[in-house]
Amino acid sequence: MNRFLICLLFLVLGASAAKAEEQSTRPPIGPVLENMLEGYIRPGYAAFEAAASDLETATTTLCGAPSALNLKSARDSFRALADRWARMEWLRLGPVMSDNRLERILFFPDRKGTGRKQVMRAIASGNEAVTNVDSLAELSVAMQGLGALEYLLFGNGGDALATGQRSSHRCAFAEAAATNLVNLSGEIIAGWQDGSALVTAFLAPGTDNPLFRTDQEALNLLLGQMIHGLEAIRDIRLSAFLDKQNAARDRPKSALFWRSDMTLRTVVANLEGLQALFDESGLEIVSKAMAPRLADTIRFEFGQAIRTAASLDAPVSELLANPETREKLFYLDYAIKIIIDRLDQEFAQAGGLAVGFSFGDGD
Amino acid sequence: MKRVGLERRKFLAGAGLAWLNSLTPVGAEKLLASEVLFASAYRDQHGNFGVAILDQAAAIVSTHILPARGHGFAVNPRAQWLVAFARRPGNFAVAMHRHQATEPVVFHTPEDRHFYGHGVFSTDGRLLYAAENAFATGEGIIGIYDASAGFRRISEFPSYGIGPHEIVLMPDGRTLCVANGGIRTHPDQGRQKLNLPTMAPSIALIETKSGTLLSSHTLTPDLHRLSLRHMAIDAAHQVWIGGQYEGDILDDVPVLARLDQDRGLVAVELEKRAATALGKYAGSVAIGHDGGTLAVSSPRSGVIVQLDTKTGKAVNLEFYPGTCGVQALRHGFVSSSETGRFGKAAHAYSWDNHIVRT
Repeated sequence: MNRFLICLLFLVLGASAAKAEEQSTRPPIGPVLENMLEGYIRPGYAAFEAAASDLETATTTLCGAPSALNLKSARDSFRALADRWARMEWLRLGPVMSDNRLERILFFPDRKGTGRKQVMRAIASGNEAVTNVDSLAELSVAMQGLGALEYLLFGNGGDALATGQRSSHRCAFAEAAATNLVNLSGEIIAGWQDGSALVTAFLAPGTDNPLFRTDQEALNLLLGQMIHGLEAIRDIRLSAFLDKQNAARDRPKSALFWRSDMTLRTVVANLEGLQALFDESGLEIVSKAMAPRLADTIRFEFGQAIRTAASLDAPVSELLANPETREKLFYLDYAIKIIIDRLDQEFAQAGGLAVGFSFGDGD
Repeated sequence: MKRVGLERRKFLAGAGLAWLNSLTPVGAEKLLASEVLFASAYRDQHGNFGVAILDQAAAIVSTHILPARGHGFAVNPRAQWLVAFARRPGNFAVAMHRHQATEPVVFHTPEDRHFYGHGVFSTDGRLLYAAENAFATGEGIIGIYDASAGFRRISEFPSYGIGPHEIVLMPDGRTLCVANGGIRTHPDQGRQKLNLPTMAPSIALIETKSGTLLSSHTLTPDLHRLSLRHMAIDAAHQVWIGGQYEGDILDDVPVLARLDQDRGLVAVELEKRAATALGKYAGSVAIGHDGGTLAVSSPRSGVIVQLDTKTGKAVNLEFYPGTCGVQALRHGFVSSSETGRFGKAAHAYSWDNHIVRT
């Protein structure tokens, strides 16, 4: 019995010594955070802001001179903006989490179609508050952002923007919503500027840091962003229209951006955005010592999921109606799960975190 | 001593075959020798989920497989039941009895409900109140299960809010205190939070017999994103509530609140170091054996903050990576981590967020 205990003691001591050594040789997280700020966060939000400005310009042009060409240009700008946002939307950190900015940019899922109903009502009543950016910003979050814009440009009555009068109410609503997104992106960019409380905290984990105290905590938070983002793509984007049990219960018109045919394209952008976070931050450095090839595996798996999503470039209703493409949607769901498991288990372990358990979403 | 041994042997028998299979001879010895037992949900290295019973020295006495990830517990000293609830959006619970020679009872919510992971027994141990989600409408529900009839669901009443989480029974034995976390979820959308801009957490006091709302308490509107989730009651009958903030982590907001008999629900300001360490996220709260010390844990920094419930001042900070579970010992507290630490022992399990005394 005693001998057993002594053996056990040695095992435990040996293991903790190995652990201590492993921790001391783990590369610091500071450079990863800096790379993420410079290589992902700032360029990503800047591109979003530029795309919002493009849409603002395009809607101003359209409102001043309704035409098929100008409507097409506004619609294309909307698609580009939706794509840019999809690359950043799973970053749930900083100014996007204040003043309901996240939901004001995109309110989804909207199970009851609240946003659409509110937008339709505003159009029907000619509500003047929606044509002014300041008053629009005070209205329901579901009327302010990409969801409203999509309905205005692509929904029932949207085609009339090409043939209608100048300065129509509907067009002015779209213009105000585009300006609102320019403003929101500007506020987010300001929050991530040098010298802001956020950037100061983000770059230097420490005892008094409100964001994270240690390198491990910072790693946990970054990895949590990726994993929660992937889970959300699966749980609120794909599952919005794809029913796992019963094809008769598929809901093509509950898909995000089905009117603009951006549903799967924003899933591609979601995945590319999360891969960009991974690549640009150099997060893989924390796994290098313990699992030198793991990062390449993760990139390969991102590639699989992205290729699958990109190959599904058709309206959601068509994808669901065709058994072959519907099956491929399940494969996409599975390909996303593979990445989640890889990050949640092997990568977390290689980075010295608990495997597959909690990323602070502890209930 | 001999009698204790006999009682504990009965516990072994009562826990059923699966339970016995999982009990090692060392575990059986521990079970007989220990006075205080803890239970906590875990995930093992192979990804299996279960409940472990541990003794005062944090040695594992037995383990019991669960169908999926567990979360919180309800125990009643009179009824001798230990009920483990599924983590949201799970819909199962497992009741284990100490004395009766029965298999553990697995029971479920109705099809249109799921558990939120917490519940509490009535004083006499006959009824179990469980926090549930009527997910079609998002209404919070308190499901009532009859422990004397195989945990048949006999009734329900509203929780008077969205997303009820922990439930405690007030010292009068007639009033339930429910933390309505305020977050809407739907099982079709996994664990995604669906209503953050409009969330409205509250603490509801509900009469157990009739299900009547006695009073509902909220913090100021600017704190509407502070999800009120976990609770513990001190010797002065104040309810301490740990919150989880769903806004910008850099916002200057409290994470702890107190339900005062006279002043209602008030935010508790902590000194900077304790507040910073909690990271706007309380994972678990517990009142010490003395009734005058509160422990609040946060898995973010792995801190356990102990504070004096009379002064509201932090008296001690300890850090263990990935800590969340915390429970009173005769002196001080025991805590557990997702890294496997339970007290001073290390196990090959990721411990879930809560520890209960059985």
